[in-house]
Amino acid sequence: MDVDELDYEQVVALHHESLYRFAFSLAGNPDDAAELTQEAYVRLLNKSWQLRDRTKVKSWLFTTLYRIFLGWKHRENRFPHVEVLSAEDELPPLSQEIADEVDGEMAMTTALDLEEHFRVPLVLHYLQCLTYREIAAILNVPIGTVMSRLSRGKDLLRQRLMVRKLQANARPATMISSKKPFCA
Amino acid sequence: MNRDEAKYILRSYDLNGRDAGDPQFQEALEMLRHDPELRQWFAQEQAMDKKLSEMFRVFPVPPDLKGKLVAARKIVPQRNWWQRPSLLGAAAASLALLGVLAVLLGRAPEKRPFADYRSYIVETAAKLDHLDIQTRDLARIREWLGAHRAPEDFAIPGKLNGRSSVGCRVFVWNGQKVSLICFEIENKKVAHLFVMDRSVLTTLPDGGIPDFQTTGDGIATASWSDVQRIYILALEQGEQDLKRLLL
Repeated sequence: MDVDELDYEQVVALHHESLYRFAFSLAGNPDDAAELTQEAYVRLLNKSWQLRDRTKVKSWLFTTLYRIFLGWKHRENRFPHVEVLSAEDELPPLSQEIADEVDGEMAMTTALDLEEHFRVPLVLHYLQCLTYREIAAILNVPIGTVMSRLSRGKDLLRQRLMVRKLQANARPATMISSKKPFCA
Repeated sequence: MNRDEAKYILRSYDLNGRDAGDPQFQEALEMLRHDPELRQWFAQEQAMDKKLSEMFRVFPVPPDLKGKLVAARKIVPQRNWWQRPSLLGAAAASLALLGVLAVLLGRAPEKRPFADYRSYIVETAAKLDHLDIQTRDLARIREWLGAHRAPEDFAIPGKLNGRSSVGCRVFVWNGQKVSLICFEIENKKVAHLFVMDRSVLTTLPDGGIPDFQTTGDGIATASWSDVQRIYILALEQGEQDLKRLLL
């Protein structure tokens, strides 16, 4: 199968946004996220002959992007370990009302606070592109591990969103509005 | 299966219901039908997850990203295109388009004399302050350079072959990627091997025979070429060392 058969532009149109968001959740900044996404598509152009089943393009792209990220991380120590906040088990659960006030930027930046092994399957799950079995294949871990990480990751994300909302509500409005948008 | 086990499993359930036929979920889904409390919990859980999912799915994507990805098709060479008759007709059109694109973007590199390139290399070697990666593993260096679309299939000349690599870096000169690979030689000296595609040069050193020069600021260079690449090995205060390595 070659790129023509795959209809490259259609593959870009269908998946580039989810791939970029996944890349952002890995890299934590827009420049590296864009570069990871571009590198994944360049590899698709160069290696599309490896794809025997066109229905696997999406999984192939996510897997490739994740492997590129791991390669960068391994070789360059490019993405520093993020210190994680201590667990907030004593907090009240995230309510639907509070969740309604969360926006995409807050969701993503909060996810970036999670340990990578929780964050990666969680973001893939929330991007709604892949089932837990496909996530397990991409991460090369057993499906039970994905289930466990999704369950714990959901708890952690909700707890930390709650903390962020409480902190944001306690902060003066001028400080909040002065934050720069991500992709300006 | 008790209720807690069912909850644990259902938390991985696909938000679009694509796991409905997955045997892993059958027992938990069956429990939903008979357990109103579990059903209520699952409805709340799904509502919360759908809300959070929506947030991740609206995270902003750079508006120009799609255009850049589509354009990549025009500049990334594809494997064995000439072996596919269906593409032969399209090839001419693609080349024409590529030409127009290159002119429009003003990025088509003009061929320049080798002397210009060597001057750039001497200047670069003189003020080299860091490497992109530091490793003694040459395979990793090649892999890294390949991932950054810089020349990685270079041949290591003479006695430099077998020396420990130190690391590498990528530069761009006249629109071409230049790979720099550093090697440790005697007395803790480091030799810098620059590799670039020869196609953007008008003049070249004679084939595989190194041409040695030392500039006023003490950077010695040895230059040679093969069918695809132009090589410059640079060393500070080291023309004799270069000759020992290459001759």
